[in-house]
Amino acid sequence: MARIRERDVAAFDAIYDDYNRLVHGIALQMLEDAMAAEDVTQTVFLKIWDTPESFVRGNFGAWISRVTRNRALDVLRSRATRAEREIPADVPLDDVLEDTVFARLDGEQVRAALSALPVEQRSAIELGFFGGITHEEIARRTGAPLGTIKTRIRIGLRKLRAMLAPSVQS
Amino acid sequence: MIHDNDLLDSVALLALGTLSAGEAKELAAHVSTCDTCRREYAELRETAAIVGYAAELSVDLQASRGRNRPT
Repeated sequence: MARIRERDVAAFDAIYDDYNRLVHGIALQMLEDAMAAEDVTQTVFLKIWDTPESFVRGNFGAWISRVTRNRALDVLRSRATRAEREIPADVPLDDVLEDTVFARLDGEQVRAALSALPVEQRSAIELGFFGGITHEEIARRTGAPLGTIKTRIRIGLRKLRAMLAPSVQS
Repeated sequence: MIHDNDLLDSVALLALGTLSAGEAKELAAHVSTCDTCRREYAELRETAAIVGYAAELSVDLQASRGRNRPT
């Protein structure tokens, strides 16, 4: 990212090649629309080129995943048919330094780890990330009590962290 | 504040980003000032984001999409 700040096109190309399958995949899964997913992908990479300083520190893959999800949430908010339902908000805590425990990941590793979770934990986490719905809506759709959904998400995330970063305690 | 599991469960939702805007802002204000919740949030935030990798397209699928790098 330091090289992109210096307007190094080759550095930008390398970031694009490494992460465009991730960005496009998240947008496609959330929006279920190839054109809209393409728009989000373009927007995310333009943001990286225009404001590389927006990435400060930490895990770049996690950061770009969140940027993509937030852009896709904006698109969902703008869709009139979704207006009746509240779209969740991602409120980052800029003053909290996130733990960075993962080395370079890929889709296969994360899918394998999610598959190893109990199905109800996996489904709550995936709906939470990709569904563009609040935990209350997840509870309504799955028929599980709200407290159960919350616990499934927390326990599932802790297990996922332990599986993908075995050096940390769950 | 007593740190029952319900509060820590809510911190996990904040990390994943599934709270409503009002709930998220209210909880974020608390987390910023609470060591226990800050630690929970710091530990789960990266994990919550890498869930996105589950949707990473395969090289084959991407090849059919073509290369559309912004210019």
